[in-house]
Amino acid sequence: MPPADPQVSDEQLMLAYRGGDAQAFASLYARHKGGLFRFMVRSIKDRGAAEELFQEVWMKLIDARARYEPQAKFSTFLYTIAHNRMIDHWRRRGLELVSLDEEAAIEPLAPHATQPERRAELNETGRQLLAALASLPVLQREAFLLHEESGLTVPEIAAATGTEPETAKSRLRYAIAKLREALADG
Amino acid sequence: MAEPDKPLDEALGALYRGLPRDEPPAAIDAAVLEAARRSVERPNRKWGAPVALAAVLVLSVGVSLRVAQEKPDAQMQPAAPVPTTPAPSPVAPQATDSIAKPAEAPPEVRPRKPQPAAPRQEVARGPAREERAAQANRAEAPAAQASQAQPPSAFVPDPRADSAARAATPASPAALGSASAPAPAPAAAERSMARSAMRAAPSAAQDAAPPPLAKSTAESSLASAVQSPDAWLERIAEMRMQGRHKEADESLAEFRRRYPAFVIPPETLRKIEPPR
Repeated sequence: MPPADPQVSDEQLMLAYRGGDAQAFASLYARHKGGLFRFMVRSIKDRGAAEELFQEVWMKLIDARARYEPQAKFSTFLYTIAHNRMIDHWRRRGLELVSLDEEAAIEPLAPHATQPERRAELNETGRQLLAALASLPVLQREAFLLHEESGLTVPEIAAATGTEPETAKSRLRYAIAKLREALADG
Repeated sequence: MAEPDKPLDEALGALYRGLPRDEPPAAIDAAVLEAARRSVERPNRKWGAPVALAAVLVLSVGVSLRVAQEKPDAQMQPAAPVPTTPAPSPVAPQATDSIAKPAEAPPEVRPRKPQPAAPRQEVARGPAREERAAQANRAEAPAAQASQAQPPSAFVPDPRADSAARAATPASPAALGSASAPAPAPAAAERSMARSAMRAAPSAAQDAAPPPLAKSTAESSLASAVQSPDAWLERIAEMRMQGRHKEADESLAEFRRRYPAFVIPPETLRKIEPPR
């Protein structure tokens, strides 16, 4: 994987890729693949489905190459695609969008802590954190993961998820509060 | 993450970042990067217009070159049959036209050209038609002279007609028709052209191919109308020798009407005058 020059912004790399520079895309992919992959894997119970969605997001980005305009941060653009793919996934699973914020909209994850090969890497706190993350409502978990994995601010999370900033902020606050509570209880 | 109202607990964030850093499988990496590379290498639509323009230019140049190559041939084709000796004779245009056209006519057209000659021979045969032809000839001859403005009181050979006559090789009874036969004009137009040529004056084609011995007054009149004065008189003398005195009388009368100022030599006069 080619090393990404930190002096070159994501938007510049995407514009270069739009102009036909495949190497620019490789640098962009190297920067964001880990965060997006963890966002997917920790949002969706089925790891295979998460990997499939991860690949679909990048394919969508490739298809949108010619239409790309740097009107927002590249990461906002990328995670907007990821959010939309995720919503489609939830809908296929029969979950209503309005219920994703509710406590009932919980799709228990298969936390890495439950996987034997991962168990040794995690201490008890880490296992508690992953278990608490898996128990969050879908959209609250999404807000937390977007903040941690992509570095999006509250307004950017709102933009990526198509909500008002207050809604995004509220989801994030609820997620943090529940995680802290779970860790304190643990 | 340096937001002022950032609600996330720093300790919680640090704990999360301490979790295992999962990465996508290498197979997915390869698939995504390959798709990105293929997308760049795929022919772009923006090349469509330049490619189409280049194709149009290539076609245009090709057609232009083809036309330029064919043009000299097309210019040379009509040059061959055009006569090089212009003559102001009123008879010449029709005569030369009828001679020149065969060179222009494509070879495959020639076999159907002798057709117009047949009706003309039919017109010359049969008593009723003979009479009509004789009358038509008599009626047309003065008109032709009037239209020529200079009636041939004395025969003036047309050099172009002579050269055209030498070029006209056929000497068969259908010589008149065959002289103009190869022209690609319709039969009606061809007949009209031949008639006007006969009406005008002794034409080159008819000089070159004198009609056979006249079998009727109409034929002799038609023939005499296109003969030179000397040849005409010789033909009248032949009629006398063959005992065709009536035809000879009519032909002589026609001759004198056509050439009133022509002085017939005494020895010729003895041969063509009616026996006493």
